[in-house]
Amino acid sequence: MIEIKNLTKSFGDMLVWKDVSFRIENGDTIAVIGRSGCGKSVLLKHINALLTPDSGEVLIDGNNIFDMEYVDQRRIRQKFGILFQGSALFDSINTFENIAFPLRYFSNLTENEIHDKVMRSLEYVNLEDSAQKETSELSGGMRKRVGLARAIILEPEYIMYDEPTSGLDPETANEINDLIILMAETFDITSIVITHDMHSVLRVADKVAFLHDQKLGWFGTLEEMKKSDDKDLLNFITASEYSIK
Amino acid sequence: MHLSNEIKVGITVLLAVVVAIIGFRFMRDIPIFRQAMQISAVFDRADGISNGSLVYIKGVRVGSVNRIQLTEDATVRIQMRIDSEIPIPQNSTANLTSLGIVEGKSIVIELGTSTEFIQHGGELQGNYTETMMEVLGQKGEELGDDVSNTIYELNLFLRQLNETLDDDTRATLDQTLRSTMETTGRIAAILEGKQDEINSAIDAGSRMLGQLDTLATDSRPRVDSLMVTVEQSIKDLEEVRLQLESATASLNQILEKVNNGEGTIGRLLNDPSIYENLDSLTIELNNLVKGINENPGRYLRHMSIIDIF
Amino acid sequence: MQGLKELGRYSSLLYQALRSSTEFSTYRKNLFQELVKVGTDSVPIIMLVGIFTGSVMTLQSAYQLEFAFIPLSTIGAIVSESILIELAAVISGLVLAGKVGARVATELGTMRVSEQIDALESMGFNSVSFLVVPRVLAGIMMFPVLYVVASIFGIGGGIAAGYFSGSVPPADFLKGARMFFYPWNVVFGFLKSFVFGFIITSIACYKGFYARGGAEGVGKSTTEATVLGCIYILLADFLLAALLL
Repeated sequence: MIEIKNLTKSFGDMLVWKDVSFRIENGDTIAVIGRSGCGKSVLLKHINALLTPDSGEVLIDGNNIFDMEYVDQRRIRQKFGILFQGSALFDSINTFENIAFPLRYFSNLTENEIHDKVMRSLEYVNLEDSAQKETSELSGGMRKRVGLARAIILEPEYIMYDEPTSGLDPETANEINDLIILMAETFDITSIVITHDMHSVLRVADKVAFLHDQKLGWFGTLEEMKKSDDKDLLNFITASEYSIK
Repeated sequence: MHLSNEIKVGITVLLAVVVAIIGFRFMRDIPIFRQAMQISAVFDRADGISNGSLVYIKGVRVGSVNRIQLTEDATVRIQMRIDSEIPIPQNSTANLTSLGIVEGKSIVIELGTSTEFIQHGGELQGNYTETMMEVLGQKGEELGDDVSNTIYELNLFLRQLNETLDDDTRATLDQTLRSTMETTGRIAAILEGKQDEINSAIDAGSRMLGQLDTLATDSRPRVDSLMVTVEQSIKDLEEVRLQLESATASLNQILEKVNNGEGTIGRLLNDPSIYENLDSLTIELNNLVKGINENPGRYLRHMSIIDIF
Repeated sequence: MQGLKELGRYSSLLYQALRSSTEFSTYRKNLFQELVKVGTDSVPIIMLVGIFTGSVMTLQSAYQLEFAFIPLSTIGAIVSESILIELAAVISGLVLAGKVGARVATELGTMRVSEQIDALESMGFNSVSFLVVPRVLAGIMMFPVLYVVASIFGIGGGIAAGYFSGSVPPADFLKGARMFFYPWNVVFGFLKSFVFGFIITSIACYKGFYARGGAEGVGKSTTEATVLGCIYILLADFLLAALLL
């Protein structure tokens, strides 16, 4: 369970958001939505302490990760898999090695076991055939899927998606959405999806956190969102080409 | 062939280390692949020797000095690296000396006759040899002292003589003068005997001048300092000359007075006690002169100036 | 103020690097990779630099001393001593500020802006230990090796230039070089290259590690890394000479 309490962050004089508090129950899929530049990705990077807030806490199973030693933070981080916006594949090594990378450093598996595990992971994302490709040969959708395969390789408890469907055609975006659902169901993973793609929100989310006006504008379940009369939230939703009605 | 990164790094570093060692030894002129023999020698002092000073055997370079340390009993241990293959007898000596008049110091090993040869880490007997310049400098100083001493004593003697002459008889004086002349004659003979030594000193001097002429430009500062020393010596000698001149003048004056029979001579003629004193003095003076003739070194130490000029 | 802030961030990055330099298993593989990239791969350019430095110095010294009544061996002494004490370390330092410094800053900068560094951190890696430590270590380990290469080829180039131009016979050159060969000069040269290796790699790592703002930001940090590397090499050269000679 992740509890975000009174989180405030600013870069220099520029306030990103303040007093953000919400709770992510195990097994939930939370969508964090908001306009571009409202600090969604910044929030995501606070959840596993890649960034440090000005004030506030993030409690992972009751422990504040900002109170920990760096060594313990790193152990906590391994509970998270992240699919980065640009996939963040290591371009010096090929697809297979990208996925095997964490295993080589953080597990004691043999070469055969690593191979099996990587191939199984690639099967989930339907990329068994691309294992030996260089990352530069991959298309945007494939990169996302390789990133996802890498994110789940250490069998995380939580998985965070940073704009998983941005920059993809609708069909590929749907494939990714299906994968998000598949991951959540197969591994009983808690998911946090950062997105401004309402289509994606409607397909995958259980709960929605809406960042607006430098604070948490609205938080509730998907069903509550559909019935909400919050003006800012409605504005954001109706601005999307998909209508919920 | 595909090399792992470890091997590539290994090759690079290994090559660099090997090349660095070879280059270093090459630049220091150490044989590149052979361990040179280290020997040492103890000297009283090590003026002018520094790390890298050369070691010669019979004028051939065989190695260089690589360590100089002061020992506990205030001698100097010099460690040398010998690159030559030739065996060095156990009883050889190492002389710390200078090869030319302006060359730096170096170590010259005089081979001994022993059939046992010195090993790596062995020790030779060391000898600190004073070089020509050092001897010259030292001698010059001593000479200066000697000459002024002599002049002083000569003056004293002349003053006493002057006083003595006041009350002596002419006859005795005559005798005295004759004895003195005899003495002078003997001194001249002594000088004649030493003629060869004087000549060789002059020869050495002109050789030295010849070497000075051939000085390279890079020895300039040392020549300068040498010149200063020489100038100083010359100045000292000039002083000596002046004092000698004044002494001679005094002597002339006295002799003139005696010749003219002036002043004190009258009294000299009339006082028998003085005559007797002078007589006994003359006898002793004769003895002295005889002594000088028999053993000039003992009496004429201060007259050694004559050896030089 | 800005300068102080930079100094502070630079120092704290170095402090982190120092602290995490004990995690050898994290960066062992990267270290060898970097040793090859910094050291082995730089050997050809350093050879070239050495040869030209030495030969140009010989030709120009010979030209300048043509009418003076100076023994030819003086040229050997001037060239070899200048190379050992100054040029081998400084010129290769400046060249490597371009080659190594730019590469390191670009690599880390790209990894930063494409979130690869965040990806590493999120997997539980200590990214400083993984990225910065091996690069700085490779710098301080391989620059002295490259100093040897530059020195040898510099003096060799000098001898060759003297021989082929007919201005200085090799024997005279070597006589002079040996006459003025002081081991301390070599020690000093080694020390310089060691310091330069540290300066170049640590500045490049700093600039790359904190790059921001996409491709343009990477370009900016690369330029800064190269320019600052050169400036601080010259400054360090001066300080070392002032302190140790």
